[in-house]
Amino acid sequence: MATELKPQNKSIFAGGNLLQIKAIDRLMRSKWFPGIIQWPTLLLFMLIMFQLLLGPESAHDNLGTALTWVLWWPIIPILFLFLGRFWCAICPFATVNDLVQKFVGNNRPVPRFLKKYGIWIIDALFIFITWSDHVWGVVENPFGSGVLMLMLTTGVIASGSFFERRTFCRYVCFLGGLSGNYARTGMLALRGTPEICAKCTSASCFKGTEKAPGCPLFEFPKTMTSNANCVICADCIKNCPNESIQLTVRKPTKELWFIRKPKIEEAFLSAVIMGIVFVQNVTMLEVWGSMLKWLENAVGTTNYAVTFSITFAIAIIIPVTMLGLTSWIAGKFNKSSLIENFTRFGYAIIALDVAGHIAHNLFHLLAEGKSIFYTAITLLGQEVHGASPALVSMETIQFLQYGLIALGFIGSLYTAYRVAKNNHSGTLAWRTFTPYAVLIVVLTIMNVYLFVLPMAMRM
Amino acid sequence: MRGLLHLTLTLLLVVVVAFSNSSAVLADGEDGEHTLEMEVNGIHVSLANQNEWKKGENTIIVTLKDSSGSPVKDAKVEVLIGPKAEEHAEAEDSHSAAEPAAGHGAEQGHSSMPGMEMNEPASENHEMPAHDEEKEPLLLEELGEHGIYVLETHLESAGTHEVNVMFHVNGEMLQANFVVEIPGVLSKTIVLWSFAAINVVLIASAGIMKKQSIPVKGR
Repeated sequence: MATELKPQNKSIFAGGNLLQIKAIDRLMRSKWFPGIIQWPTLLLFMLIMFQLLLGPESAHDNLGTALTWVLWWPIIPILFLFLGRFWCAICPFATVNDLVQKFVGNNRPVPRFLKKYGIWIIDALFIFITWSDHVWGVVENPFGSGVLMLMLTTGVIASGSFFERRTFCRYVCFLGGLSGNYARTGMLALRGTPEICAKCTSASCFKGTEKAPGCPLFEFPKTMTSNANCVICADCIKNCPNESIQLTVRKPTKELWFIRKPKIEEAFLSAVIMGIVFVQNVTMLEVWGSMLKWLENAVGTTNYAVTFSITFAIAIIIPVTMLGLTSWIAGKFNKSSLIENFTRFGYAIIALDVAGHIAHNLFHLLAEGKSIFYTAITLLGQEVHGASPALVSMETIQFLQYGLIALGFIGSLYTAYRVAKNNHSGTLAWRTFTPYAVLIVVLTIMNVYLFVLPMAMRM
Repeated sequence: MRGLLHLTLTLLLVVVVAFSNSSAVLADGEDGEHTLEMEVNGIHVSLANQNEWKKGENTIIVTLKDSSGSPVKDAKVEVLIGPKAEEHAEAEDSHSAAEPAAGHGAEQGHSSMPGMEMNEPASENHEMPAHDEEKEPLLLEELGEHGIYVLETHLESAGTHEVNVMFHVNGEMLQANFVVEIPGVLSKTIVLWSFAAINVVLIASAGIMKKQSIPVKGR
């Protein structure tokens, strides 16, 4: 009976199930998936940890720094765009969580406060970690980066030891929060087939079977409307007795157009990420030194923790305030409250967030990419002196950055339009949309301006 | 169960105490060992730190005296400080981690990105900085007329560092290379063992609690 209801023979480009393709179906159902990627990732992570904690003290010479901050960190938002949160399925921290859980896990339920305030905790952690990176210099200090990894490792060990599934990944991990937001723009979606799931009473996808454990991130494909918490681990595909699960390709940002239950903390995070992208760009500009000097004179201290904290706070407050102000203006037209508008339309910024984040990191990846090779061959006793670490010219990088910002602009603008249209009709939709269009234009101009200015490097 | 919790808390307390006391222990160990000395072409070079060497702000004092013990005045003295290269001790392989303290607030911001202190930022003509560019040596300021030269500098990283003191005497450039150990706020070993201890405690506690919970389930 289930087979009759399976959506078949629809082109994958028209939203057809990718599991129609035999190779993908076999891969997803294989007991080796995602382990075949997960375990090599863990081994690489161990090498990175060894380098960060016990390798060269200069970031310039450290392969761990190069692999983490020049390769992994820039690539991760690109992965979110194409594969959703698949990274989380193979993340070494998650693997450590699973390992610890397997041997000593107590599998206690998730604490209520984590369920209630999880995203706020993630928001706070994300802000804190970005702040501490600048103030204590985590990125440029290999040992500091190693300590950050150790802290995360301790977090997942604690979580895996006492709590069920991947509690840490779902409710605490700052990268999980970021990836959850970014995965909404992702092109890969996993859902249950409603007609099949409606008749299912086993809930094997959630509970797990002998084939695979239940959803590690507590999702229930039967009722899933978002990919924010789906890591494409394929456990539900293996577990479903009715072959209900579909893996489809969708238009980027499509999920953002139809958020059923928007949450203010997620909308807030999207505005915060915009601020963080600003601050990351600003502190790498040549003019940052003179800006800091001016600030030092203005506040009367040369304490970097103080001056940076002020800059950081301003950078975060700007997009949050701009979104709040725009929501207030839009409220004049659509009679919704500021909070309602803020929550609904905050998601529209995510596309521009992702674009800005990728564009910023593209500089590190393409302008410093060869440093991965240089630091790697140092391990083999070879050294390279005086060679450029750039993979492509600065003109090419800037061209790509502008292209990405343009795509992010289109994505955000169209999302705002769809959100307005879904919530209001006729001219009211346009009146609601207009202030947000202005906001997105302003944010785009700010992003473009920051990329026009010359930047410095990590390695 | 209560005993287990007590044990866990005690172990955690020990780890925390060890963690928080580590910097004091390291600082004490350094007392009285601040001056390093060397003879270069008849010039006696001493390198000292106003306090102990540490990650962060340091005041470096270089004293130059000739073979008769008279101070060497009006010399141009520079230092190049960087983490000691793993295998090659040559000065040219070291990468500077120092920033002048004057206006360090601004400089510190730059130094939070390693590339900023080692490479020139990408200039407007969009030329890529080289992978292995070096930092310029830092000029010391002469203090009085006693052959004492001083520099306030910010050291970005802990660990073994090379301090290359370069000075011009009678038109000749001489160099004295010193190696100093700069302890971080916490030593690496202590940090690593602390993390290991915490994780072992967590896993052991979970393992014991799991064992205890099995008979409860079976009842």
